[in-house]
Amino acid sequence: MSRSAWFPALLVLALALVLAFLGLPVAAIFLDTSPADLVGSLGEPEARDALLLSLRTTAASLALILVVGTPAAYLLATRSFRGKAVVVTLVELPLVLPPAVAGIALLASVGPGGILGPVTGDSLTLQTAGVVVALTFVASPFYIRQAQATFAALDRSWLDAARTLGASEAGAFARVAVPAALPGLAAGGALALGRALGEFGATLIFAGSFQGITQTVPLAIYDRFATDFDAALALAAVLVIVSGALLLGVKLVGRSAAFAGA
Amino acid sequence: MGVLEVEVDLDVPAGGCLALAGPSGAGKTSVLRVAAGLLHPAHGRAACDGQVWLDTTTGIDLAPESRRCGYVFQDYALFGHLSAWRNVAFGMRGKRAERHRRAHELLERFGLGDRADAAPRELSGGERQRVALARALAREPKALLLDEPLSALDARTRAAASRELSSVLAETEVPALLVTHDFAEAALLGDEVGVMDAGVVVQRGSASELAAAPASAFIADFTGAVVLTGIAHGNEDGLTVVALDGGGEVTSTDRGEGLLAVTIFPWEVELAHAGSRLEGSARNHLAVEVLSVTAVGNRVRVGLAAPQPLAAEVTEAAARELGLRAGARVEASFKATATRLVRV
Repeated sequence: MSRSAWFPALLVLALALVLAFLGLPVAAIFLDTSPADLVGSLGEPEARDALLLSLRTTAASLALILVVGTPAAYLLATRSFRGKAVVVTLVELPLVLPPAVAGIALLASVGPGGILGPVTGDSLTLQTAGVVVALTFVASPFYIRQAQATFAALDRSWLDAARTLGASEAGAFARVAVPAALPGLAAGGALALGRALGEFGATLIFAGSFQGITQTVPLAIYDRFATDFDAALALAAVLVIVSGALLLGVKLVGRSAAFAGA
Repeated sequence: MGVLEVEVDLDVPAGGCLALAGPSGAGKTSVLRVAAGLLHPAHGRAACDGQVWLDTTTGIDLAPESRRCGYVFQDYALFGHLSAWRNVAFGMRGKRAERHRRAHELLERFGLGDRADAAPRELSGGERQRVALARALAREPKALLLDEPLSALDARTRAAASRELSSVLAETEVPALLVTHDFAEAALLGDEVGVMDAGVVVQRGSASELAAAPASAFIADFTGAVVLTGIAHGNEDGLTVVALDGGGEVTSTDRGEGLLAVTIFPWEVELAHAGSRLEGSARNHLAVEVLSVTAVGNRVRVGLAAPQPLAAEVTEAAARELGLRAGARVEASFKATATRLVRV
């Protein structure tokens, strides 16, 4: 080994440790679950309900995050105004809140006894809509942060160029900023998606855990964990596969969108 | 944050090209951005083809998209996510097939027919510049604004690109306002040159007018002339003698009194062996020391200490015969008629 080879070796070792630490538990889920268990677990109505609910609520939450979060992030990235730092910190706050705190906060604000209780009543708590609210609350900062950074990194002269070429401000946003930022937006979307799919604490506290109504896959796993570890494991394997596939899909979409070509 | 004060009053005739030249920070780009509606000044007026674009006294301030001006940005600002033809077609209206056809036609005109589907990052600097120009013209603008259209190019590409750009500018019938930090570029591309410094146009005229009669030492220096400062007084022959700061004397046919600058172009300065005074019409002879010898194309630029910095341009053969190298002592001569006296 040459004199200077120790550092690359160190880097490889560090990566190997990271891979082992992160990969082993995931691998263990599959090593402990036979394919038959996996298919079998999908046959149970509770599991199917949980999976369908997770997909529905996550999709709804992601749609909300994209539609509202994208223009909000664009504003944060392209304008400066008094108190912007405070606004950015508020947007990022859910990132550091423990999920249980997020759940309590949602109850205190849009729960039946919360500040907006007279408006919302019990339309959210213990309802599927409540799950969507909880997912959106915890997952949107992941998207908005990434989207803001991506928009901020855009060449501002592109937006100016779009304006001189006849595009309105909205046109420059829709025809230049969003398409050019798409890879970054997709990455942010993947992060938010992953966070929403795995959401547990806030959902449990705010929406409860009722099969077919608010019991998403993580809640169903927890529900079974005490009574039927193998079933919990099989459902966990399903969640890993679905999450991995979605993450991969979003990344591929982002990559192919990087250049619209001819 | 500094406040930029820009005070200019410019008009460009249809088909004409005014080149604004000046050092960076002079406010050149701000003028373009105000014209395009990308910058909103406290006070200002902009009009084109009879239509008022901006008038702060009446509150008119058209959005950039309503101004119909083609803007070529300094780094071209081609949309990286769109192919060359889509960049060109961006500002066009109409059906996709029609825009596709017209964009390809335009690219063809700029010799880029086969690059229509390339991404901007796959294009060379010169190709990017042409796509940017085609894109700016695609909307049939009423005015063309160009911000340092050649500065992003390497020296080799620049010569060809500037010839091409000057023929495009000559063809278009809309007024063009071009900004550059390079006087030679301004002289080549503009019908008229306005020299800008610290937010004001200090002199405007044809490039040769500016070079021949610079209004100030700054403009003379900017046009590439040598500037020597000193105290001037008239003599009995009706000529002006300038006692240079640091020693030496220069005679000029221009008139002036007091603290002044003498300007002369390097190609008007003749060099000879020290002591071998040239027998000729040159009235000015300065004993100088060679500081540097730099080849510029087929010429050699010689930096001199007179003792103020002076420069001469000679051919390579002349430099060889004179044995020019740093430290050599030579005699610099130039005619009194080749000098200009300007205020410092």
